[in-house]
Amino acid sequence: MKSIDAQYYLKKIKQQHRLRKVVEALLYSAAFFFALYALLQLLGIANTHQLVFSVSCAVLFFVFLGYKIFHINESRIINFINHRYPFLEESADLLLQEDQNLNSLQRLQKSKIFEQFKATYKSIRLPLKLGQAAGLLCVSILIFLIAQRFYSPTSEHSMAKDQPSTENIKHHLPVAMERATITISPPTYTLIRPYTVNDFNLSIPEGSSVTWSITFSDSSIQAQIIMPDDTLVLRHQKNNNVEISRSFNKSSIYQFRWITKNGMDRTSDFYSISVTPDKPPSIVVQDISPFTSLALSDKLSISLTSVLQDDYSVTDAYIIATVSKGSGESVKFREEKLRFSQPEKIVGKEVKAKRTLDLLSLGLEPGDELYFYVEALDNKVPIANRIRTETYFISLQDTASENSGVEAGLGVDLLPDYFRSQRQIIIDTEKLLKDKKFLMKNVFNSTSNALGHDQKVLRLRYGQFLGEEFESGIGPQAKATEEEHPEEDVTKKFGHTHDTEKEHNLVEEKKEKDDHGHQHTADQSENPLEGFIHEHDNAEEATFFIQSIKLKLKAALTLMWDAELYLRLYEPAKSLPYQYQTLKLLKEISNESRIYVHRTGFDPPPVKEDKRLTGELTNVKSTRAQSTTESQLDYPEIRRALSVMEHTYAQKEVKLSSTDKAILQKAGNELATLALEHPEKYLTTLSLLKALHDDEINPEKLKDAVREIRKNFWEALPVKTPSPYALESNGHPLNQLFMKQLNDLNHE
Amino acid sequence: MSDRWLAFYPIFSPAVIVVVVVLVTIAFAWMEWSRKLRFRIWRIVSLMVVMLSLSGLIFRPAVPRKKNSSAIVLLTSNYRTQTVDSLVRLFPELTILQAPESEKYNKGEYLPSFHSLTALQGNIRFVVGDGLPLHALDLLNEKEFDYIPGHPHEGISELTLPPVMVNALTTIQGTYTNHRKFSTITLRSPAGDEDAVQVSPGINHSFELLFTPKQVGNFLYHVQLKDSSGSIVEENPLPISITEAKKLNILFLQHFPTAEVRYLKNFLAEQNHAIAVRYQLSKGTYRYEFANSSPRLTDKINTALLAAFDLVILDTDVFQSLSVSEKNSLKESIDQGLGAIVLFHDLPSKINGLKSFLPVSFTKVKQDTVAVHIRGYTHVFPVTSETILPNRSVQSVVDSKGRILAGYIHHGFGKIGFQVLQETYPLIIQGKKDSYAMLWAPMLTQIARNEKVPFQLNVITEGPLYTNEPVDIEILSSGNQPFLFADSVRIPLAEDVLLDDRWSGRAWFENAGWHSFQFSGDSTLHHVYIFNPGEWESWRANVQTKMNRLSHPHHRDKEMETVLDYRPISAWYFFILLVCAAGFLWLAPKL
Repeated sequence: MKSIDAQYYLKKIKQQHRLRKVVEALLYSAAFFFALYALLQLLGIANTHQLVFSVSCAVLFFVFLGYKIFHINESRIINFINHRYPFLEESADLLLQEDQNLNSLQRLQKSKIFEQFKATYKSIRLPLKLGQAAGLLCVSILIFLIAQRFYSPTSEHSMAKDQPSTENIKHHLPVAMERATITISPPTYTLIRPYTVNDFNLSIPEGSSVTWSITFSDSSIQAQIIMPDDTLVLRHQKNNNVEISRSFNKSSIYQFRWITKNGMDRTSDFYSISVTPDKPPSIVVQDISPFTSLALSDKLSISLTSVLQDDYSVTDAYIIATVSKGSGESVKFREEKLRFSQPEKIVGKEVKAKRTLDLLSLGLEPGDELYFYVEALDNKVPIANRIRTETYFISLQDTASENSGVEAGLGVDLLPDYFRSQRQIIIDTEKLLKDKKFLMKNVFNSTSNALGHDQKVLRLRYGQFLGEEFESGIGPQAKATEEEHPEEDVTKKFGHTHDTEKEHNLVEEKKEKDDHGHQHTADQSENPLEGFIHEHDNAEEATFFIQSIKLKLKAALTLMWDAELYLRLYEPAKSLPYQYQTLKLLKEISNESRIYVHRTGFDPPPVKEDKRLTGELTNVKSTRAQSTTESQLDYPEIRRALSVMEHTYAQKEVKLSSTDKAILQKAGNELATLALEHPEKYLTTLSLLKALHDDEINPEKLKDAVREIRKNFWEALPVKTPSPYALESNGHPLNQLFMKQLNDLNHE
Repeated sequence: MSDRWLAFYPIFSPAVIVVVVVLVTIAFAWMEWSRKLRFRIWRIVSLMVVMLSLSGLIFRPAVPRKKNSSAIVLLTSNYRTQTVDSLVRLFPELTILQAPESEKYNKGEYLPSFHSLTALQGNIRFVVGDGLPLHALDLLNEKEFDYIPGHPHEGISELTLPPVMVNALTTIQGTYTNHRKFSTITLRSPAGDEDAVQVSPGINHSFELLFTPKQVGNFLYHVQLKDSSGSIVEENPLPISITEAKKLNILFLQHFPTAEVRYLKNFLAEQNHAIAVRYQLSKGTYRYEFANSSPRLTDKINTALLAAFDLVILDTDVFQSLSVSEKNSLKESIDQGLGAIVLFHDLPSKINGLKSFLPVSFTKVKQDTVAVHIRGYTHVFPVTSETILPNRSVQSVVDSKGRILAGYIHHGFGKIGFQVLQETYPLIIQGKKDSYAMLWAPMLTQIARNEKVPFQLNVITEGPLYTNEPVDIEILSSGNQPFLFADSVRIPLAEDVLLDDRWSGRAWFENAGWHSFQFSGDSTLHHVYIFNPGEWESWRANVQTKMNRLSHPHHRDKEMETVLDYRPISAWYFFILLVCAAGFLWLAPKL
């Protein structure tokens, strides 16, 4: 071996050492990774985060170790060799030097150790901890495997979704149960196939049959299902299996109860059964309003479209139509059941049914009406759900006999709804003036104009009593003089007066004041029929009202003209005085135009004051009635238990005596009735009560359990109506003395 | 201590120390002398110095110092350091003493307990911080000191809780001080949040919390202070003792049945009050109805009959038809505590004899309807067109915009009430029974006869009650001597010297939680709640501050005494000497 070979071998030693160190670092990093992964798993951190974090830390660790590895160079190796191999006499570094760079002594030393190096270089071993690293890796792998064995996954990914498993009950199976299978068999008509669920808390259609199939660890276990209204004994099948079935029409709660072979009575948690009722079908009638009025000239066939929906299936739907003919006492009704033309058969979850109602073919004539509603049934067994819509009305107008009372002006019909009275116009005018500040000018003007129109309509309406529309003219008019016709009592002239015996009881007829003298005009000719005819188209001869009323009406019409004028000119403030005067006149007119008739019917004899209140009272005695309201405190057991819970909650350590547990059990029975209606609210409390009773709660969670139970007990109690009560006071002698002196002061 | 030039405060018995030191010194001196080393004399001297230093550390000698003042500044918890610094600067000779549990001040010395205050009578010049607790104040005969409050406490500074009846709407009133520490005060019942109120920053602002308890008993509510993010910054328990409400015995007198009284009667009967109703059928002929009570009415109204009732409700028609003797009997019964309510069927001014019975004045008003706010809703009722003129003797129960609709005046021990609302029964027909109850229940409660109790117990200690602190109670008796037990322990009571039948006593409770007082021969329990130290800090501090403010300032012209104050020599001196001497002893052999 030449000296140059020594350098080569030193380099080689260095490279080999580095490689081994890398392997060692890898082993350490791997050990670190497995240990960290296992630790994170036991802490329950999610898989992805766990993996990423562990890998990152292992890489960082490797980088840290690798940093040190790549600082290993020849000089460090030489130092190690010098230290480790004394026979090299601390001169191994000479092997790296060239001879020409060494002095004679160094060359001598070099040659001396060279021989030694040559003999021993193969056995040079640099420090390495591969074994330790490997051992550490094995230990960390072992820890990893142990962690895997005891790891309980919290994420949902560990459970198969949408695959109802026969063995995978969501809730912790009670210890004695090895396996539990629940099969739900909905009623046949729902067309839902039987299925299994993986949760003891059930949500089932109404009428479904539930089959529990449970395998206990011991075949001799006697098991039951306890419900508020029933107890089911699970029947033994083969292979330690017990089974029972029952159908449900309403929600309930249940728990398992079993007696072990040692005679111990065990119960499970509480579970809920939520029953989804079969809802009746829904019907939506499209494009028809509840009230339709048609003329003969309109299209007399109506297209009826109904959308029928049900949670399972609609089996039938039809239209019940009733035709009404005639009016008054001679009205006749005829009912018919009509089928939908499309589709021919009503079946399915959603059906769009159509039918055209031909009014003429139904026999409707002008003046008749058709009432109809749609009824639908679903496929519920045994009694189908039935529903009907509201009633729709279609009337066929009879234009021939229609009463046009609004325009005829006979004056005896009721005013139509749109007709505004003078009072209403005044109110609207005042409102308009009040809101003037807040309205834009064009709105103000248009409203004023609209009021002017209403005033005009009113004027025309009243003008009809006097005949022609334009009789009164526009603008201020001179007061019309009274005519010379003597005032006459219209009722006496044209009415019938039979009963005149008790005329002293009649209200005196108003005598008309003759303000103006009558003057027969020269050109007035005498008409023998004058006194008997009705001249409604002649304002002067209109005989509906008596003379002064006519004058007032005329004056009112004149005032209405003026009011309308200012309203049209957008000056409602100026129109108001005219409106007030008009209203006053109209009121006077309506008062004066009243007709008083004789009373008909029974006239009782006048009361004799001297005999009043002198009746015999011997048979009239004082009476008594007595009643008692039963005062029943609601939820008495819950109230008692609430006190126990409050006392327990206030203690540092939760301790329940046997008496307390008995009270809690009774409260649980009361709470169970509430849990039937609100399982989501009280079922957990029932479970907590049971666990508390059986001492199954961890000591560190006892306080939380007590708090939760206390909260639910409090929520279960209803809020009662506030009631008055008696306050307390003490009868201290000083109070009495004070009152006495106060009274004496008052009396002084 | 006496006027010596040096005083000692040995850790152990001096005799023992002297003997041990002397023996050890002799032994070590002989050993040193025996050693054949240089510096023998110096070594012996060093040894003596070592032993003397050790003795100094053990004996703790003190030298006297004259002071011109015995004035003390007492630091209590939550004192301001700047205030104390200023006081010390102004009065350098002040002795700084600290109450237990106060924060450490540089030169302050802690009192072993508040009982030490007895020895410091008259010397306390300043009290700084939250002040002395009430029981500590009692130890000082002369409360002549200047009180300087500390940092203001943020939180609830006062709480008032009335007697709580089951199913009755109850109001908690209080005040708070807030510098933006919290923005909401929440009342939490066992079922969860009961009521909450938003608060703004300020000092001694008032607030109210409402709740309706559902069950009789002692319950622990909580009052939470939350910040703007909803986090709880402070939570304290609020003990609520809920008692059963005593039902009333009510008599209705009517000329003829009315819907108003019928619905009121049925409403009260459903709630198990004892009701008796009398209608007049004819002269001298009546119809009686009894609900939850035994028949006992007679035609004549007299004091014996009325003594069995807590409340009489009569309309103005009946009132006018009562004879003179019946009216006198009614007045006499009201004097003795009966409550009476008059329902107006006619304008009050037209009722004969009303003024002598109900001495209030009425005036005409235009409105014949009135809007009343109940539970956040507005209800409109018809009302008589005459209203009560405001009067100091009239207590309002229901009002609307200043107009009294229902109220009462005191008459002797009883009250005479009036109600001008005409038709309130439609509330029941509309299904608003709670609103109806809120309208009638307060009036009936306040006007009805008070239930007489033989003893009335009041806790007069202000603020929250704590463990191992005295609870002062006052008892008003109706003539009998009370025997009081606190948790079955008899409490000695002292009767007031000037006022008969007024007793006082003091009790202590060792444990936190519910405790009860009970009178001998009476099954009624009066519950009190004892808090743990640290609860309701701001309330406690506020009460304490208030009581300390009542102290009188110190008289400045009082002569200051000259006193000797022994100051211990710093142990550092002895320690340094010890180290040096021991160091020489160690070094000597090496030299």
